[in-house]
Amino acid sequence: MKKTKIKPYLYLAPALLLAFVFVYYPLIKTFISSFFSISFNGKLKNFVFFANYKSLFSRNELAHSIWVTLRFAIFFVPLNTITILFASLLCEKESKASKFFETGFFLPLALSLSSACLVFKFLFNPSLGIINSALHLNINWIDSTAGANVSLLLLCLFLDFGINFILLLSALRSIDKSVVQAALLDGANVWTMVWKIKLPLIKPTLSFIIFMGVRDSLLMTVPPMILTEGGPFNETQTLIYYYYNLVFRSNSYGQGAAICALIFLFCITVSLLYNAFKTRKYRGVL
Amino acid sequence: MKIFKYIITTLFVLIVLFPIFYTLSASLFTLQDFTATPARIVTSQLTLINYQRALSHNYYLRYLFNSLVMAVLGTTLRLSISFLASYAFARFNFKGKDLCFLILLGTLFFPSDTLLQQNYLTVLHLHLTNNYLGLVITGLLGVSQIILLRLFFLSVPLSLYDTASIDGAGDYLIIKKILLPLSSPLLASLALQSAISFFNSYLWPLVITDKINMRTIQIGITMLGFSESLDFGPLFAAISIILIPTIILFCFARKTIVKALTKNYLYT
Repeated sequence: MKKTKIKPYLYLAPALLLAFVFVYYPLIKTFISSFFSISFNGKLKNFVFFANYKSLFSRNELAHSIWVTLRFAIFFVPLNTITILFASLLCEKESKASKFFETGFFLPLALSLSSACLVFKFLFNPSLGIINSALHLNINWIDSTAGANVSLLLLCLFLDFGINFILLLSALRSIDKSVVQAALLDGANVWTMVWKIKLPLIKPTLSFIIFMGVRDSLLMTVPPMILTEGGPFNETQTLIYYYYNLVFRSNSYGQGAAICALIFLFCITVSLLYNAFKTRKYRGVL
Repeated sequence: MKIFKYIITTLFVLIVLFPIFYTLSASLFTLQDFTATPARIVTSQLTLINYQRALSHNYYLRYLFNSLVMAVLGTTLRLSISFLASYAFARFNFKGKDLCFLILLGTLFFPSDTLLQQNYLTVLHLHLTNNYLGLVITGLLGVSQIILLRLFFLSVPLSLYDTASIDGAGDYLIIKKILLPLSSPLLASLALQSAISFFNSYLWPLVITDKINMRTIQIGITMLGFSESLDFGPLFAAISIILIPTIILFCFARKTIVKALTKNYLYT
């Protein structure tokens, strides 16, 4: 490695500039503007202390959107993990047939985000949709709380299927064959094989998928925006969707900033806790 | 037992693929097919009229073009910026190196959707709304790419750099003759990932464009106006026009794509 004065800074300048202009500056600005009333073009008008937070908490929309988001995550994360695990275990052994299955499971990735939302919107359409008419059902998929949530859940499972499937499949296939052989010789049945041998060995990928599932479902916005438009009666208005509506539909900039400030505080707390937990764990090992 | 497994897998695949199959099939439907009882799975007559109508929509091709420009421009800029930054981290010792790295790493903790409002105001003041640069600008910082590229550059043997330096090669030559050829497989997979993520982005383009001829396909396709009149055929055709090339690509280049997506998958 050589020592030069200015060159590395020049090379880093674009990245650092972007980090400051589009992450740290808006971050600080959000915290500051959450204490101000804000004009329509984003200028800070006057200091209102906690008024934005107060009016945010005085209506129960915020609490409701948090509840909607959490409820979705509670159903989505386990279902997502189980279906993906099931699909990749079915395809694990390489053969001529498995290639066909693999391509099939991987193709949902080809349908882009809003296309998938639109297709599902039609599939679940209560009067015209193929799901109701082919299965002779009469379920109000979009306009009832349960129906809207179930169709949203299925849509999100579909959206995440392709990428999670190939991640988990490649993890399963990279398991050392000799371990599996040894377990087979010792008479392990399918169940113990999966629980005691395979799952522990793919734990890093599995926890990555779970982590991404939690993250994605807590931040979910676009699927309810297109599929259910937040309805019925805000029953699928997730947290970020509520924030979007506040800022870009009803121009409540101050309250929007307050929500973001709360989310940032949450992110910072979680990462600090995670770090503390991690260092303690390592200290135990050393 | 084996047959049982095949049956279950086949059923599972069919369920997962049903939305895709139905999209392709419905793109050939006539208006009556959508309301027929019992529900139709295949069209009653073979006609490409839906495709014709989708393609002759005033803005459909424009939306598609915008998305392609956005994906190419965004990917090129993001990769160049990440490449330079990771080169600096891997090749130089300088004051504040760790701090710079931490600053970049720190951006990963804050979900980009929550920065929407302030970034919108920034881009508004920069007069970049309804502009291709404005469309990609908040996605140009690829910290996970910087991490991966830095690791790769560190794995290049030092002697290779030293020999080049002794021969008088500057950074430009080292990058062009050594690093670019060596890292091209990694760069290709990073490019694929970021092209997909730019192409699929929805919220930012929705906020930052209000002129109809600057909308991207992800937003435009929800605003084509066919489904309002219950005329779903052209909508499914419009979706299929993007879907068919993608499926062909996925079937033929499956191995390459799977490898690219799994080998160094880090969320951006």
